[in-house]
Amino acid sequence: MMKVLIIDDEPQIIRALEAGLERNNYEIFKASSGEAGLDLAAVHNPDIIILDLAMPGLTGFDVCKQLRSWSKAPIIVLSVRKSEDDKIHALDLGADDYLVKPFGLRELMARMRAVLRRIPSTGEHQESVFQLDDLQIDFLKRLVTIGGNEVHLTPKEYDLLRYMSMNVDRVLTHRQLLSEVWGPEYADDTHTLRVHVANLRTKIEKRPERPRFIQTETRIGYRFRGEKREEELQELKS
Amino acid sequence: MPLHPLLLPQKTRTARALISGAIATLGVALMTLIIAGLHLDASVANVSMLYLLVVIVAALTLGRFAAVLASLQSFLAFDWFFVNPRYQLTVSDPAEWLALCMFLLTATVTGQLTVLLVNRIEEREQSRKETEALAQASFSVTSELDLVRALESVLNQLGEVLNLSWAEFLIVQEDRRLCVKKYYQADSAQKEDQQKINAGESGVDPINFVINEKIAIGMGPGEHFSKALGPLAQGAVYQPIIVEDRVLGVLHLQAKSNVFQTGEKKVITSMSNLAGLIVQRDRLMKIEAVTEAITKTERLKSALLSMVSHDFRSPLTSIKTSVNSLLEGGDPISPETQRNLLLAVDHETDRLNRLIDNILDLSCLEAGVLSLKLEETPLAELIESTLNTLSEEENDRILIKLGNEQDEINVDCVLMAQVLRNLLENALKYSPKDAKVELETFVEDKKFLIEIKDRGRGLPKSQESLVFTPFFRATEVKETSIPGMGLGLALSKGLVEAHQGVLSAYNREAGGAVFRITLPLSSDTGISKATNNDESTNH
Repeated sequence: MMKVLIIDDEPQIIRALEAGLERNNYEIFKASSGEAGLDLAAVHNPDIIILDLAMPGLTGFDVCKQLRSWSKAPIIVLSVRKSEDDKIHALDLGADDYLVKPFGLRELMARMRAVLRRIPSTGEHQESVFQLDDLQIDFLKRLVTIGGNEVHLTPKEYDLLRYMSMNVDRVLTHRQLLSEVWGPEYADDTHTLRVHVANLRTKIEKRPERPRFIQTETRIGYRFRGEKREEELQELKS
Repeated sequence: MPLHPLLLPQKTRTARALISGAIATLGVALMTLIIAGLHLDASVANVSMLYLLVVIVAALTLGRFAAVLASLQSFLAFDWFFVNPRYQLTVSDPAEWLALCMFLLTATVTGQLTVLLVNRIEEREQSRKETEALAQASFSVTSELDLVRALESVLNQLGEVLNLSWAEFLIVQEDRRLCVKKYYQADSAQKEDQQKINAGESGVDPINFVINEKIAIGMGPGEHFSKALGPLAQGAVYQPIIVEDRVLGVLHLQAKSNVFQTGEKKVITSMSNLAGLIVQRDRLMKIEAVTEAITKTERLKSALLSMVSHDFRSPLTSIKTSVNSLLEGGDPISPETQRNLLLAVDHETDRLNRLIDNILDLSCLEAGVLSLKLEETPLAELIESTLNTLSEEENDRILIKLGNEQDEINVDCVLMAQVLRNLLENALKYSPKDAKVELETFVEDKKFLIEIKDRGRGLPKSQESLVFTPFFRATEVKETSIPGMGLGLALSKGLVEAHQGVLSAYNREAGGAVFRITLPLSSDTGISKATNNDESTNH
C-alpha cells in the first residue's frame, strides 16, 4: 500500500482527504503542523507528501525545503487561488506539483498517480527512445516523429522537448526550464521560452490552443502531460 | 523700467544717476562740438533746437535726472559758446536773454513730458505683461490638473513679470510640506544657501511665522513684527496663500536686486491667490476621488448584500438538501440517485467558488486595487488557459477560430482568461444545449479583436447597454431557471477596460449575441519574434 503523508493545519481537510484516500487503498499519515509533518516523514518514509503552504509556525515552504534536503518523495503542495508566486516558489524549492483549493479528490488522485508514475528526473539510465501516443523521440539520433513523420525542430526546441519529456507530468517553472535549456543566466527570459514553446506546439500539437503534450500552467510554467485528457480518452473509446 | 536695466544693469540708484548724468553731459558736449565744428550757429537760425534734441533723447533713454541735467547743461553750453558775448555767461542782448530763458523752460518741460510719456508706456507695458502672465497662469490652472506642474507654470509666469532670482511654493499638506521651487538664474543657488543661514540665525522661521500668523512678510511698509524675525534677506517676500481663511501654503520669493514696486506686489498677491485656487482644487479633487471610491464600494456592498440572500442561498440550499437526503435514514437510496445527489453538490460548490472569485475580483477592480501583470502572451496560450478552466462538456461545445495562434497580445493572462471564461460560460448558458459557441480572433485596424458568438436569445431589446451593469439581469431571464447574478459581464467589462480595451455587445441578425473584445495591438506580432537565431534544424 502506498503511504501518503498529509500536512495541513485544517482538520476538516485532513478528515475529508483521509476518508477519500483510504477507500482508494492509500495508507494515511496525518500531521497538523510543519514540525509534526517533518517528524512523521522521517519515521514513516512516505511515498508521497501532500503539503499545505499556508500554515502557522513552520510554513509549507520551510517544510518543502527541509524535506528536499533528505527525501526524494514527491510533494504536492496545496495553495489558494491567485498565489502564483507561492506556487512558483514551492516548485522551485523542489515540490513536484500543486493544487488550488478548493480541489476535487479525483483531481488530487490523478496528480498523485502522475507524480508517482514518473521516473526520477535525474535520468541515470535513460531510455534511448521516448514514446508517448504518436510522439516519438529518439535521443540517440536526435530524431522526433509524429505518427512516423519526421518533425524538424531547431536545436533549442529539441532540447526543450527532450527536457520536458524527461519530466513527464511534472510542473516545470519558467525559471527551471530556462536555466536547464538556456542556462542560468537566461532564467528570467520568459518571453523567449514562450515563443519557443509556441513554435514547438505548432510542430507537434494537432490543436495548439488545446494541446495534447505541452500544457500551460498559467504564469507558472509548463507541464508535459503523460495522460490524455478525458475527452480524448472518450473519443478513443467510442 | 525696461530701458534702464538694459543700459545700466545691476547698479544702485546713485551709481545709475552718476552714469546717466555722465552720458547726458557727453551728449551735450558732443552736440556742442558738432555745432561748433560745422559752424551751424552761423547758418541755422535756431541752433538751440538741436540741444532740445539731446534733452529729448536723454529723457527717452536715461530718465528724469539726465533730462534735467541735459537741459541745464544745454542752457549753459548754448550761452557760453553761441550767445554773444561768447565764452561768457553774460548776455548782451535782452532779447537773447529772453530766448535763452525760453530755451531753458522749453527744454525742462519737454524733458519732463518725455520722461512722463516713457514712464506711462513702461507702466502700460508692465501692466500688459502682468495681465498676460495672469491670463497665462490662469490658463495653466485650468489646463494642468497636476498640482506640481500647475504651480510650476505659475512660477514660470512670475519669472516673466518680476525680476526674481528664485521663487518657491511651500504647500502645507497633511503630513508634509510640498516644495515647488524655481531658480531663474544658475548662480542663485549659492546665494540662497547663505540666506538659509541668515534665516537660521534669527531663530523664528519666517515660513512658520507666515503660516501661523496669516501675515505677509516683505509686502508692506513698517512691518512691526520684523524685529521678531531678525534680519531678513533684502527683497525677500513671504506671501501666505489663503483660501477660505485657511493657510494652504506660502509663496516665498527672492527679488534679484530691489524691493518690489506696488504694481509688482499686486502681481504677487494675484499669483498667490491663483496658487490658492490650484491647491484648493487639488485638495477637492483628491477628496472627490476618495469619496467616489467609497461610494462605489458602498454601492457594490449594498447590491451584494441584497443579492447574497438569493443567489448564494440557492446553491447552498441545493447542497444542504442533497447532503441531508444522503444522511437521512429510511429506505435505502439507489446508487444512481446517490451519485446524482453528490454530483449536484459537486456542481453547486464549483458554482459558489466561481461566484466568490468574481465577487472578489469585482470588488478589487471597483476599489482600484487590482493590478495587472501584463505579459506578451501567445494567443494560443491564452485560449488554452481559458479552455482549461472549463469542463470537457463545455469544451466540446466551443469552436475556436484563431487568426494566427502565434500572435502575441500584451495581457494579464490570468485575468484575460477569466474574461474569456466568463463570456464563454455566459454564451453557453444562454444557448440551446446542442448549439456551438464560437470564439474567433482577428486583427483589424491595428486592433486585436476577440469575438464570442452564440445562438442564444440575444441581448434584451432596448437594454443592450445595461448588460454590463453589476447585478443586472434581463427581466425575461430572471423568470427562467438559468442561474447567475449578473456579475460576470460587469467584471469582464471592468477587466477589459483595465487592459485599455473595449468590451461591446450586439445582437446577430440571425439570432444570438456577439461579445467583442477590442484590445490595442502589441507593437510587433509574434511572427517576427518567433523567428529566432537558431533556424537550423536539429539534423
